[in-house]
Amino acid sequence: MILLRRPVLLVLIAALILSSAVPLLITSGYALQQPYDDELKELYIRVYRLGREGIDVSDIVNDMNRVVELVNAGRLDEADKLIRDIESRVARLETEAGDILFWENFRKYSVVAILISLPIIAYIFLPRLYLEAWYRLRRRWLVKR
Amino acid sequence: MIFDDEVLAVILALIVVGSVFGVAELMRPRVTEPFTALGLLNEDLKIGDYPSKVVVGQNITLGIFVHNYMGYPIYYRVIYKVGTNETLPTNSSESPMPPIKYWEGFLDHDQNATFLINIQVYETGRKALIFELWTYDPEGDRWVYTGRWNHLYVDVVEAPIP
Repeated sequence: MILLRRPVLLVLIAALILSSAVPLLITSGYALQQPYDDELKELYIRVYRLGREGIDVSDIVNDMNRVVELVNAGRLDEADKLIRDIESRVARLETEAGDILFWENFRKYSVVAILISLPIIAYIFLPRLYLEAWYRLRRRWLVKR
Repeated sequence: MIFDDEVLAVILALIVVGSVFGVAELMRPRVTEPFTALGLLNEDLKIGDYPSKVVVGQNITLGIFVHNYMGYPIYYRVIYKVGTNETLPTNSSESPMPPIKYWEGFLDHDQNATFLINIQVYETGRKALIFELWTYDPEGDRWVYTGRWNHLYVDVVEAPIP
């Protein structure tokens, strides 16, 4: 009975080894190590939210790419340091996001208001400015009787 | 110069049109058609002149170009697979072949990345080197196939016996 079971057992063990070997075939090019992968994912979610709101995150995104490069080059201390730096900058941006967006919108709508009022301003002041210029250019003229 | 009502009307019309265009430019959404792009380049990072015949296990150097115009930063992954003309991806589904290698990075809106990669093929015959672009979906916490892919057909031959 035991002898009959042995091949079955061997097949099972072989199947187990093969199934565990499959993920080993999937090698990574510039894939991150797991702790960095999770850390950068969390950081990315925060940066993504800021970016969607309209906050400029291009410097932070460039530094996150730098972290990927450092991790792949095995310079983990530098990568850790840069991650901490990015985290503090993201946290600062998160607290300042409201103010940044308020002033950004203020600037945008101020320009819109100026642009909308331009035709009215031109309608009121353009003839007056033209007359003013006309008279100034001819102020030395003498009127002949 | 005569500055009568007609001249004033023309000048005002020009100012009105200019201000309307200005307001429209400021108020339009930043991105109207979001997209990502993936490009396959040769080892000089140019289009064309790709290798067509390679030896099993030989290092193949290619260039990858990724562009983000989604309106927000993306976390992308370029996944390399080896398949045939029957296992190519489509715009809606990825190739069924298993991933062999991948490269990842981050791109802000309207940024692009170009980098060199080294790959190998270990099966002989006419093979398709498949590159798929995936992005991380922060809402669903998963990697999503963007529908962008490139492929390059190569004839893979055995190494000549010296």
